Amino acid sequence: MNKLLLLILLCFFSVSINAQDDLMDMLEDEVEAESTPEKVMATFKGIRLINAQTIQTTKKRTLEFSITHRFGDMDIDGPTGKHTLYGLENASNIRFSFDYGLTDKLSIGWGRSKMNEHVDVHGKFRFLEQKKGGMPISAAYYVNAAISPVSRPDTFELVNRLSYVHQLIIASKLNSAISLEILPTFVHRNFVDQTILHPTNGSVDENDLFAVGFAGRFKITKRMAFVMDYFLTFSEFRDGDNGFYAPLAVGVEIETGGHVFHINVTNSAGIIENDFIPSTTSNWGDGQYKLGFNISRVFSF
Amino acid sequence: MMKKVTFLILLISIVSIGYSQNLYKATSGEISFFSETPMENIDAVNKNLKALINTKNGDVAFIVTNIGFKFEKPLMEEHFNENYMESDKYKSSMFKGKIVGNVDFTKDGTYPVKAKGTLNIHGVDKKREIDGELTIQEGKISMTSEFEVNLKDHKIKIPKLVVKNISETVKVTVNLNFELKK
Repeated sequence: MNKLLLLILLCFFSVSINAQDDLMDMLEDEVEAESTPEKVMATFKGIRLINAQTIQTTKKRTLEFSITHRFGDMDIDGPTGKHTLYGLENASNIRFSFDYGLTDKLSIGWGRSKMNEHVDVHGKFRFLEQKKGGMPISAAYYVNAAISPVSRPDTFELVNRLSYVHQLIIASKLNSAISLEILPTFVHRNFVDQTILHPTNGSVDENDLFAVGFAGRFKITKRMAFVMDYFLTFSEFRDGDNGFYAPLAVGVEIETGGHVFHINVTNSAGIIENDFIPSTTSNWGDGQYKLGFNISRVFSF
Repeated sequence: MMKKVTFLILLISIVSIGYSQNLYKATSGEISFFSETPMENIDAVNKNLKALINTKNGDVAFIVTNIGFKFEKPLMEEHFNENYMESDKYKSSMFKGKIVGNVDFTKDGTYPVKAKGTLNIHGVDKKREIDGELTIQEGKISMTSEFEVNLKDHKIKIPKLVVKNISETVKVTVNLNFELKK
């Protein structure tokens, strides 16, 4: 009987000791119990990587102003390079754009490129969030419409100047250093010149183009990352024999508080999908890679 | 004999109930911090601060999840978690210590107190003595405290580029209401 008593006594003691002594343990247990799978933050830094869109949207009530610049062909071994300071004296393309976040998941924007004088309106909607210990990917839908107001004969109808892009962006932040993306893309151009035949297979240009993009960000330090993207266009008309190449871009991303700055090298002169998916005619192999930069500044209201 | 056992069990039960009556739990309140520089002011609030006070021995514990801090600008929040707090690695900030000073938890009144213990932010411990005030009213405790945190103490690095935007010492304010833990 005495033993039983002792046991009961011991039990009570140990219970009260546990309950009393470590307040922090109690709190930590509570935090643990309440924790829900966290949203994965900052898969990418800017809304655009080099050529590729990223999963990020401009946050609610912030305005993002971006300048994207592509210099001329670097052509390091050739004559053009030497006489244009490796392309720095030429501007293949310049784009100004504004993006505004309507909500944290939905943003709209406007941009103007030098190439084809494309003026575009666009929107991005992030509909799936990657969660730690849950959903492994995040996803967004990107859409744009562009008009090319270049000088044409009066008979050229307005509708023929329009082109559209629909894009699904699927991204995953594998760990704090590596983020990857895949971008199935559809480009529709209202007008294409179908009088030109492919020199070997005889195909003509297509109004509808499918492409798939791959993009990645690899952190080197806390504020610096190596970035790259690549687009593969599925088109019979587009191959090396006909002077078309897949846009490949590599760069370095530097983050400084409110700015994100990229220095990159790419063979594409086009900056928006409507340009670089159908019209990349520069080849890395021929020295036709261009130095470029993207810089963006965020304003909060 | 049986009677004795029953009596003892009863006694122990009463004692242990009495024990748990010493524990007060934060039911509402918030923690906020403020960084002031000529360039930019940064402030953030977290309403999900968890805390316990043991009125018997003066033990206190506070814990707050870093990602729960809400900022005015979304970019600040991202930078706070990603670059400074590294909330991935160091999920919570906490304080564990003891209240020193004369507090009669059974008597209504306002008591200036000190909490002596360890503050853990960004995974780095720092021994601190933090001033605060306890108000006891009708069996409820409310607590306010204001203290400064030096970022260097906790190995939080500010890059040169933004050194003008972020203050080296951050002012932290805590306001909490405690009720007897059931």
